[in-house]
Amino acid sequence: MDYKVMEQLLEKYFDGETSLKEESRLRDYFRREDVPEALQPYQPMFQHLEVERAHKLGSDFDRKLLRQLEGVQPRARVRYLSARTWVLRIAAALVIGLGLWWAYVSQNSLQTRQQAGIDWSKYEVKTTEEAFRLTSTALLKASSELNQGASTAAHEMDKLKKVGKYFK
Amino acid sequence: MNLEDFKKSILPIKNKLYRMALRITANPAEAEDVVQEVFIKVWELRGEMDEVRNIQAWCMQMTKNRAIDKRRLRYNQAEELDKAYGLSSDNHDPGRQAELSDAVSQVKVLMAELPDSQKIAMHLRDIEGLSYQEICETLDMPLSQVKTNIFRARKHIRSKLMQLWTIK
Repeated sequence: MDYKVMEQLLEKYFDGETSLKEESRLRDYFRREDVPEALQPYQPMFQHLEVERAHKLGSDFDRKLLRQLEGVQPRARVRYLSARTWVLRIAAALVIGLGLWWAYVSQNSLQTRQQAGIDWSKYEVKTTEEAFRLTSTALLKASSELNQGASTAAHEMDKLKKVGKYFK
Repeated sequence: MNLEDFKKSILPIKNKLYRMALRITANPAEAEDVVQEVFIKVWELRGEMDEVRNIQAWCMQMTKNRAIDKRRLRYNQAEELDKAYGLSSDNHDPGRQAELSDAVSQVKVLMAELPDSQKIAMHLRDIEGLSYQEICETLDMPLSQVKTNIFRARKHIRSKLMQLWTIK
């Protein structure tokens, strides 16, 4: 009966489902000498836990420590930041960094464009004939544009007159 | 916090911290140093201790981190594992006693081989008798992860124990 109960408790223990009370019961059980053969492989494990639990620091440790503590001054107040605060700080630093980088790159490319500029000297008129030709071409183009503008305006006026009839 | 408060509320957890440090460093002198360092740190920060919600969990976490650092600095696990631990329980059969002692040492080796997360979670549950909630707080880990670590650690040791038993 005892064996069956312990076997079930062991299964529960290895499945990580035992309570602290049940685990203490298992430790008590494996302290005895007459453990059934089927359960004997587990005895060293529980005995090891017992041995480990017995490790202690002596009173010498206390004396040595307390003597050392006498000379220790309290530290200046340190503010501990949570993981969330650290993440937010890093994110803010990244945003500022990216902003500064973007501003630097934009400023640089603007300066480059300004420095490159347009070399107007190559368009400079050098002879009177060339000046005459360019001026006549420009005037002809202006005249043609004005003519076209006047004809478009007359056409539009006709349209307006037609529409105006309906509102009389 | 004054020295009397320290003696009353902090010093009594020295053995828990020592066993945790010993579990990680596998070296009694180093484990003692770790506990001493942790207590000195607590004493330095005595002005802020009222802000710490769970001092034991806080100390355990610091002990774990410092012990891991110490082990990293002086990693010679194989040598430490060779040191056998004596059994305190009475056993009238010397043959069985020797066999058990050997098996207990093997369990110690098996536990030492576990990954830190499993080893520490199992230690806190099976040796310190902490509740799952307390382990979560100490290790700053979600409940599901704590349970998985303990489950895997126990399962691993069980399968290895069964193998050893079959060989015998």
